[in-house]
Amino acid sequence: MLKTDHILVKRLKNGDEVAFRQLVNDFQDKVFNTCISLVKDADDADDLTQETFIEVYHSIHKFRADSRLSTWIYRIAVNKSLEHLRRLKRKKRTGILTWISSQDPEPAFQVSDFNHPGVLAEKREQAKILIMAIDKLPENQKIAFTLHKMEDLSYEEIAEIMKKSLSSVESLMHRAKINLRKDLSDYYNS
Amino acid sequence: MKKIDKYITEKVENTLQAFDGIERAKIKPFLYTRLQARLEKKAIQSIETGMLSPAFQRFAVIMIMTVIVFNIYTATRFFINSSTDASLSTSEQLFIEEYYPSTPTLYNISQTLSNP
Repeated sequence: MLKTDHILVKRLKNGDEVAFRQLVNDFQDKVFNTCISLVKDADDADDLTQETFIEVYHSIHKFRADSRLSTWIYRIAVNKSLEHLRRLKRKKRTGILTWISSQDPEPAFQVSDFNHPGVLAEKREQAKILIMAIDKLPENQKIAFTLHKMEDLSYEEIAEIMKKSLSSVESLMHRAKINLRKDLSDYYNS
Repeated sequence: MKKIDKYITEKVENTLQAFDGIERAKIKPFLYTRLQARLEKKAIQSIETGMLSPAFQRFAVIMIMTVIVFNIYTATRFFINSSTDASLSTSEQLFIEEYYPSTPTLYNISQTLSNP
């Protein structure tokens, strides 16, 4: 753990409100960016960012010095986002079942066509297609690819966040790229 | 055919680079204020749910039962004590009536008549 992290964590554990405000200011955009990249909805990402900091506030006493503070916060943000996606998936499934049973013309849940606000204007359309392809990836590949491309995190950092070995992350990234190439080829061929 | 393949491969590679130069998305302002409000709300909720938690309910039931048992015990003791007091006073009264009669007996009256 970094020395600055150590001091900040000590202050947080002592219930220092100024330290918590500093932590929020330092990490709010990183956490929000991670959440929005995974859940693809600005309001949900805002909500999840708040939930992440609430979790940090309540669980700081559980934080151990064997990892970096940033890694721990990223891990919480990723977990919160995944929980949210699973909840949505369950809701969607229930929505479809309700729709089938009631014979309504539309299902209760629809996937929005999201575009990341940080994407350059000239790449917006391609980014939309890439996001659609990323959505089809298995969960671990999606996390690794998103953290690397959107948050610009190194493979080492991703390995620490995902609690995996470096070689596992390399493998995840490799398979993610293969799958994306295949899906995108299919998309452009159709 | 090769031309089409090359075109698609190019398209795919360009799409894979769509996130190059991406900027970090920024959250809406005043996050800390919103966060504080939510933390306060959570604190109130946790107190409320704490009151409704099974552990608290069990504790409340045990406390009520203890108070009831204590009241019954106290009341029983009070009645036992008061009834004992009452029997004592009856025996005392009998004693007084026997040895210090307040109303004159026939013997007293005849005595009074013979010795005016």
